[in-house]
Amino acid sequence: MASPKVAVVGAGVIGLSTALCITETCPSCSVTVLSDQFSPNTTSDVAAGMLIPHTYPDTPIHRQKQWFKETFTYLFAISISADASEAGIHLVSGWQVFKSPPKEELPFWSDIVLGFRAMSEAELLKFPQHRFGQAFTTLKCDCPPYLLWLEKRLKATGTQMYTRKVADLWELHSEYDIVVNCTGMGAHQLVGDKQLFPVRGQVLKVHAPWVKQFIRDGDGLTYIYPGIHRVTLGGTREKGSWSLSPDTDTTRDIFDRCCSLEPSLQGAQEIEVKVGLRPSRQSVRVQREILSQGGVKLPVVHNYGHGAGGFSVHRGTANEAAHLVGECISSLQGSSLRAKL
Amino acid sequence: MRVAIIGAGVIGLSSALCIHEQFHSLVPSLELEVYADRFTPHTTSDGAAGLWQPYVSDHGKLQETVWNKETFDYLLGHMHSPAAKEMGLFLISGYNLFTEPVPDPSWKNIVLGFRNLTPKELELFPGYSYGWFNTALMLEGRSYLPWLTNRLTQRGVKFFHKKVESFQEVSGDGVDVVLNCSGVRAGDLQPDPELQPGRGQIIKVLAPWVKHFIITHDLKSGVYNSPYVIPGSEFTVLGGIYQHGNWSEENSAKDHKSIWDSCCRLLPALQKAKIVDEWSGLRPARPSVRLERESIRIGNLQAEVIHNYGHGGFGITIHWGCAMAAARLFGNILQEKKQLATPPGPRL
Repeated sequence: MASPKVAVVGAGVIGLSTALCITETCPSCSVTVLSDQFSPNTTSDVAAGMLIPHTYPDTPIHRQKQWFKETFTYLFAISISADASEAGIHLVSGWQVFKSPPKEELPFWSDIVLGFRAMSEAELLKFPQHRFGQAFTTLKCDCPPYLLWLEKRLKATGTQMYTRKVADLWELHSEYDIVVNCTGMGAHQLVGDKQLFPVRGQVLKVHAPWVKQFIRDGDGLTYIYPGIHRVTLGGTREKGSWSLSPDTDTTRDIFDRCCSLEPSLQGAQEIEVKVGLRPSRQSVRVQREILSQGGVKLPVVHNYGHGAGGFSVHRGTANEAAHLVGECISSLQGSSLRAKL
Repeated sequence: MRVAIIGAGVIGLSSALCIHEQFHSLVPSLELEVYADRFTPHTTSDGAAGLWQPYVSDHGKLQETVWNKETFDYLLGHMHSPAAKEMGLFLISGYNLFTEPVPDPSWKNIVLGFRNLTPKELELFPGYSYGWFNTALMLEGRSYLPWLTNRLTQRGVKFFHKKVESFQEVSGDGVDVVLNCSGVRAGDLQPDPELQPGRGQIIKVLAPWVKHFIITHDLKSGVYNSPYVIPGSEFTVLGGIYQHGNWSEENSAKDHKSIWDSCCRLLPALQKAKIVDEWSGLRPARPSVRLERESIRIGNLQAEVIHNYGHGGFGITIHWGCAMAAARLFGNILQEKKQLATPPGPRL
């Protein structure tokens, strides 16, 4: 197989980073990205892009840690390079505060982020309703810049990108040798995965450039994440809700909760409301599958179901998916050799 | 009781506010007047980035450390007030970088969360092998000085755009107490060979992805002669120039190159930052802050002067502690003039 043709369906952070990894591990591959949405209209564009992992109940912790570590290392190198601002990658320090003691004193990622430690008494004075806290420095991927930078890197490798709604993976079998499914919430329909469910998140993006630190309530519901030009205020976790329309009462509630953590946000301007559906699953599906129909086989690599933790593990899962694509290619080459005999 | 404050930088305005807050209800005849040749945004304080941070070593000047702490605590107490944004006050974390281990600074327990840098953090800054991380405060002069001016105006304090040439000029006019907050040009009012300009130059850029202050130190070349990056609410300040004895307020191309090259080496992404402004200012450098009373004889009149100048590169850092000390000296003067039974407020 001289130049395997790979279609990556989906152009959020998972689709684009997976496509990029494939071009890196398989330079002879011809990669095409197909998606009905591109930045700034993907789910990834709504997210703040903070590298603070979500814990997937059914994925082994060592695997999640490996994904996070690879992602953090990759972005760390970009953050200290001249590309950092164009890629939208920057360091941010701050606090995670708890009203009641956290389940784990040391989360699995505490030795991967920078400078992780318990907050001092003096620091906790700023949060009278909270009794415990963790201070650390992590990375943030601002969108759209990060997605646009990935697109730019992809174009430089000759990767084509097309706006196209793929209703069925079989549509692609005549044009492509391998399909990579990075459709996020779209996988519910596209591959009929009933284990995938939306967790609706509403956020506010505001102009408050004096906010330089992140603050996150350990319950994951209230957070303040300063980005390059906007601060993301959140949020909600509404399991099973498919609504993409902003809710006014929710906006008020998010704003109030964030102001109680950071009163200066009262002065925030240019408030924009956004909604995204986290493509949630008990475990991230990074897996090979061979679809079969009427004697025709279609190798598929799945990489979806990252829920609230897409940015945190994106590069690690992209690496794994690219590796699986490599395995598909080897299989195809093996079977085409056998076919010749 | 007329009080003239000479100088409208952070020291002059905050001293005026502190005195008015403490004494206006006790001394009904109290009238404050601010005289300055430069007002915001043209003062030295306006050019400073506004980061609260004393020098790495206090050289045994414990009094200054106490004033620094009083200032930090005062500002921290204002963090949750609605005025914080208007004051230009916000929390910020960041890095101090060294090429060799150094003792912890006198202010390690004043700031929040002070700790040494981990090996992984040091990977962010090739060339530096030791450092500190802490959370401190920014107080941007461009917001704070107008805020102080508004508070003073509300309180009926008068402002005069005038270069005062001598203490006699104001005291001969019926002013009872003069507060000398004239900063780097205090020598024009009274020779002070210990006061020298510590010339600095800064480049203001748009780099909103920078969320931390980064201050490098080169113990051989001295304080502020090593690159620093300080993100403000609108612009990021790049600096690293300290020239003792240089009175020039003109921007130097050589200094520009030095700042730009060294800061871009420190943070390569700055190469893409857009330059919006450049400024040179004169830090009022002195071996120690001059904060003391002096009685000056003019003919058969005696004028009381309170000196409050020589805050070098740490004026914002120390201003409120000094303002309160100046207010205490003012209280002593009132007592002596029998304007007050006992001075108000806590004694240090």
